[in-house]
Amino acid sequence: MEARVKGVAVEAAREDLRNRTLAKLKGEFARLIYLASTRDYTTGQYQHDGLAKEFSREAATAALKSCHEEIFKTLGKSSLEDVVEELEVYACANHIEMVELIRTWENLQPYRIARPLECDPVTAELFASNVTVALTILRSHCLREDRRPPDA
Amino acid sequence: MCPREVLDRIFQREDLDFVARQDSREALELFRRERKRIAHLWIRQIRQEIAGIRQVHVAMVRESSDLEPATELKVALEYLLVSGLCWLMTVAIYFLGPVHTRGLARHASELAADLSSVVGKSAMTPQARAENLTRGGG
Repeated sequence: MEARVKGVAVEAAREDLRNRTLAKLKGEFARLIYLASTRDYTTGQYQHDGLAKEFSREAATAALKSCHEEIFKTLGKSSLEDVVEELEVYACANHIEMVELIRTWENLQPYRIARPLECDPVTAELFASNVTVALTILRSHCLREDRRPPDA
Repeated sequence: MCPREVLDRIFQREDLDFVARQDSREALELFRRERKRIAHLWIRQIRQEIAGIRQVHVAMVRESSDLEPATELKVALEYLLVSGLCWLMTVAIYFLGPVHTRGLARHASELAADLSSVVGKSAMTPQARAENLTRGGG
């Protein structure tokens, strides 16, 4: 009975998180980065005061973890074309110059720590590898744009 | 084990075709190198899994008094088959790339899952096995 009540609270917290926070973020990368940022990097615990106040700390943590895993799973099995598109959406929605995003992400590789703690290692490597290739593709697009004559 | 959709993604052609259309030699070379690396990682994962299954099975067999020869033969054959497929895939990926080994990868993954299920079932007590059968667990 207690487990069922907990399950209902987690589901309600998930719905709340999806509808009130994640729906406002444009693109899967923005959602992934947001969810990863709610995690304490020393303990691996998710924290969200608003959600914890509304439901409970336990329900909020479980909801954040579950949504994080769900979004990572979606991105992990995405085609390379979709990953490239998602990166363009992320840069555009956050008003970041693509060249700047490429330079920062190639150097710091933030996408490597954006993965959930518990995930299949091959899926995690495929995701990181796809982002690396996508950044190279986007860099080649930027170079081509730069070389194009202004009147073309 | 790595999800089926991820396995398909590693070995399918769609991404290779997409990168080839981008007209970037650097991206194409990086993609080919990376997919080979990921495919080898997957093979290593499968090898580790079946080695783990084999260890569990050997430990179980040592303590078992009622061995089923048919099950033992099936486990031994499937273990050898998956090991052989992994070896074959390693060579094929080196020379041809992951795209051409998709069928082998699917076959190895299915065999490894079957091996895990056979060993799991044989680890059950006779009573649990009967209950599983009445529940329709096969």
